[in-house]
Amino acid sequence: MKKYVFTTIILSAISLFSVACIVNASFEVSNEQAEKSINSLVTFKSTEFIENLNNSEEKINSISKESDSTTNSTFYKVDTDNYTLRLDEDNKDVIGIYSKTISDDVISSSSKNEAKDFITAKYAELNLPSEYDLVYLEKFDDVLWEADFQKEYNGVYNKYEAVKVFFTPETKEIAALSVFDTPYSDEKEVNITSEEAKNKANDNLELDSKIVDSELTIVQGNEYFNEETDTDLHKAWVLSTEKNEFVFVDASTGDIIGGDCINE
Amino acid sequence: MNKKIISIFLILIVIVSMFATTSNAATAAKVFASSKSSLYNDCATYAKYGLQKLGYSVSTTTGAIKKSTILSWITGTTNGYAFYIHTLGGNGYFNDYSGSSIDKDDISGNWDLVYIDSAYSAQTDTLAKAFHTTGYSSRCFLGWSGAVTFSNANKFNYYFWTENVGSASIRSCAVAAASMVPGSGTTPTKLYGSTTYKGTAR
Repeated sequence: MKKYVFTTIILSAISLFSVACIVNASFEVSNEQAEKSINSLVTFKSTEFIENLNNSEEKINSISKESDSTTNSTFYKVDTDNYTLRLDEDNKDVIGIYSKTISDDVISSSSKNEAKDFITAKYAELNLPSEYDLVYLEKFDDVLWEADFQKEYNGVYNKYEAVKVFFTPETKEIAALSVFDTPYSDEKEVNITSEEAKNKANDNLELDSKIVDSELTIVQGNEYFNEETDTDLHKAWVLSTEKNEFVFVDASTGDIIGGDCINE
Repeated sequence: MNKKIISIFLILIVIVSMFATTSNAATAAKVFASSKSSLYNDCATYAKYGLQKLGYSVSTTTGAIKKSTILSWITGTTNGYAFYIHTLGGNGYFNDYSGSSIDKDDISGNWDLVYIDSAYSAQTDTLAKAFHTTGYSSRCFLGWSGAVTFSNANKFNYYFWTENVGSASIRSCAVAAASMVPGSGTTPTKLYGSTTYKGTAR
């Protein structure tokens, strides 16, 4: 009887072990398959984007999963001989690309209209968000131009929901492009006027110079004046002082939600 | 017999110490950051990481740094080829913690990679020339051609040093990092010297 029980236990253990091995193996296979299909999608989207960018085919050298601690996000980093790309972890959409070989021997002499024509056409070809407006177009240096496309919320643009691109019209080259996708969800009414915001700042902070300018914009809260401030997006008055300091005052509540300073 | 063993042992010690001396002579880089906010320390951490990726042996000084400390490193370190400082400054100069300026007349030596992280540091090529970073195929100077805020410089430095450096030329890495910081005209990075140099330690 004892022998029978012992044999049964041993056989059961072997069966359980075998089942566990099979299950584990199948998980390994499915993990491997999932990784393969993700890599295929990442490869497809990356090569498609580069083709739209400059009609060239690029061999993918490596794909790795990376994290961005400034946005607490994860992304896929794709490396080719000439480009590095970032792809969104969820949709595998391209959220950034930069060229490893900027043609610095061409000085850009394009007019602002020529630069605008080139970049708006290229923006459409790349299937970037169509609801964003071109809000900034300036020469960046001798070679490159900077263009910024941003989403509008009742007359105020959100720089965190935007596309920022550096390019040379003459060579039709995109040197770097980034897609920012943090929507402004806090659609509170603007209750505070610019003057009231200035008074709030003067009453609550020991500013060592006069406030000289104000602008209503969307900013991210920070710990500049108060360590307990959140890092959410706020519609806020950005007040500038004579000594290059900035105070962010929430345009709805009047709270001081951050600040900044020029490194001068 | 004992004498022979002792001789062999002594020879081995000499050989090991020769190797130790060689590794101390690795190309050195210095990171300075005046610590008036936590962002300064972050920038120092990013720069150290990036310079190590490029093959430098990096030492860091943060806090209330004096002009004499900065100059003793700039003028006194024979194997120092890379230099990063995050501080306040302007066109053609940068400051120590108390506001004493360092300008072209204080600077000497032949440098491979210099990044002065203060507003307007690269508005002209004055500092780039002072560090002798222009006119060579493997030297460059990075700075700001205009105003830059603490938070934008901090984000730029995160992307430049931790994500981009080592993958392409310093010029490409800087333009890429500029594109990764939200806002228009927020990161006026400017490079003098070689646009193809990757910043790798010699």
